[in-house]
Amino acid sequence: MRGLVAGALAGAWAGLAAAQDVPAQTPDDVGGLRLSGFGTLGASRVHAPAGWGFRRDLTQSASDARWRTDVDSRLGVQANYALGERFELVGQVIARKRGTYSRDGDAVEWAYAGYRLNADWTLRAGRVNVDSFLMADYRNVGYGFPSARPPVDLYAVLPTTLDGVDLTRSWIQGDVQWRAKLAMGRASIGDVDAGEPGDVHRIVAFMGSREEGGLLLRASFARMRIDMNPPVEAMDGLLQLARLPMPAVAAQASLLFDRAGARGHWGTFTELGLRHELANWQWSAELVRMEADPLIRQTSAYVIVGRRWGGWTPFVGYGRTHDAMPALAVPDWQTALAPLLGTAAAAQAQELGSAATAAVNAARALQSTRLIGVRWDMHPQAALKLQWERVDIRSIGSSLWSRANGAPARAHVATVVVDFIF
Amino acid sequence: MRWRALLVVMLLLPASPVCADFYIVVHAGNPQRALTQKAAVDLFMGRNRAFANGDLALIFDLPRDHPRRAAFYEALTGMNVAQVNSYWSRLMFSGQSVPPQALPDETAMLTILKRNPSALGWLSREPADPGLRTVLVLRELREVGEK
Repeated sequence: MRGLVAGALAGAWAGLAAAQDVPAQTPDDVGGLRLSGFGTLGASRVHAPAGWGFRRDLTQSASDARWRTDVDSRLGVQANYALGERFELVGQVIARKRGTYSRDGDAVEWAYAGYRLNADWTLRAGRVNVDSFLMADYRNVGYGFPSARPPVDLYAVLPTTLDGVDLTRSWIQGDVQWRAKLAMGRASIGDVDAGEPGDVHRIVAFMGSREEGGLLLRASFARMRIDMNPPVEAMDGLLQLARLPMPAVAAQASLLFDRAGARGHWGTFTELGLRHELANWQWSAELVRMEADPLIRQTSAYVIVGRRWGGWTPFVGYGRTHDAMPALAVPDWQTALAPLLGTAAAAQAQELGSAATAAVNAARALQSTRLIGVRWDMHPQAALKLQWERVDIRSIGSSLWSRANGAPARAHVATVVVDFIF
Repeated sequence: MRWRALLVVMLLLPASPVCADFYIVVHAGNPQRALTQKAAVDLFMGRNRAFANGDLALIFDLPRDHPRRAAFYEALTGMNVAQVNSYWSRLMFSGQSVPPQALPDETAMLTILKRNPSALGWLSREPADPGLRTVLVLRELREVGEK
């Protein structure tokens, strides 16, 4: 009886296998680990007002040294582990100098599991990136772009990596390649040398791009909730002042409380970008609007044009950023509050008001940059770049510089970098 | 005397171009009969992941130091090797796509192509194996003779 059942099962299995035409076992040709990496060795000579520190983004540490090697120098290592044709694990760590308040784990740029549903659709979960800007995905990979660094006027304030999920569809229609991406998750933003970074959460971001014949056009929109993390004691003090039966003082304290980001605010990023590579010309341009009233109403734009001659690509560029939120005047709380609270308490309130106003004003970025440089592809995996830029910073608009005092200024930065991949 | 005359005539002939071809190859069981150059560019440059019938394509490359690799990509895309590497650095280190997997040599390429119907690769010599099909031939022109 058992033999009969076994025989029947064996026969059924053989029939099933034949019916499905099960192929001979093929080796896993796409499994395995791929290690790769990129890096930059850079040096900059900075000529700026005393005490001001040049930064390419707000995650960097403060330094007013004339000669800097930490601005652009970095080393990134990436591991791609493919589990068959559809699954992939990717991790990327970048070693570079970061600001005082950078968090553990900030060195991890990417850490996600990717699933390819089919040729067009890919789902990723883990630490990905906020793909809301043309160069956001490869801003650390100097070898991938002509200038020494992504335009500071726009890229300095980018949110960092996105912890969440994204879903991408990529398809070809004739000569046109389309991509669309939806991402959700959380990130962080802000000056990590001055204080704790702000939290950006409930992010929903959409990106669409069209590429045809060397011309890439893209647009993105993201909406998110931003919670800056100003010092708690200071914010409690402002909240108390906002409840005083003195309308003028209360309104000023409430405004400072809001502008400091103590209350969460909804924000949007809107971006239009293009990159064009045709024959030996390459140029890129981008326009971004970041709105999170009353924290920020920033408009930033740049254009970079380069032309290749053999292994040499000279380039010029212009960038500008402008925060439309007004600068605040220091309130006179000493005079207004002394009759109500006494001289000592009024003086304390004045100190709080002055410090809060300075902090709000120090977060405004209004500057423009003119740059010129050349890239030399000296090796198939390495490029040397020279870049000179002049930065004009407007009054109460120096937030991209560390330890700056808000005075209008002009700075010059001369840079040499070697970018490489391996 | 005849040979010397022939030699003189040959030396006086204008320099003629010599074609070195590259062969883009699939398994003979793959339904893809032929590829346009544009379709090949899309596959090798990570813009497209599938054959015309929608099946996933596994793209394979030869190693970076292969003597013909730079010429292959120039013939395929018109870009020099630094431009190709720059392009891939933008895609690879942003997780958007990975470059084709590099195999050690053309023997390994032949082995993979013969056993995997999803594979697509390139060779610098025309394959004679009936288990393979050439879907595109790329020509590289090189001047030979006195300038």
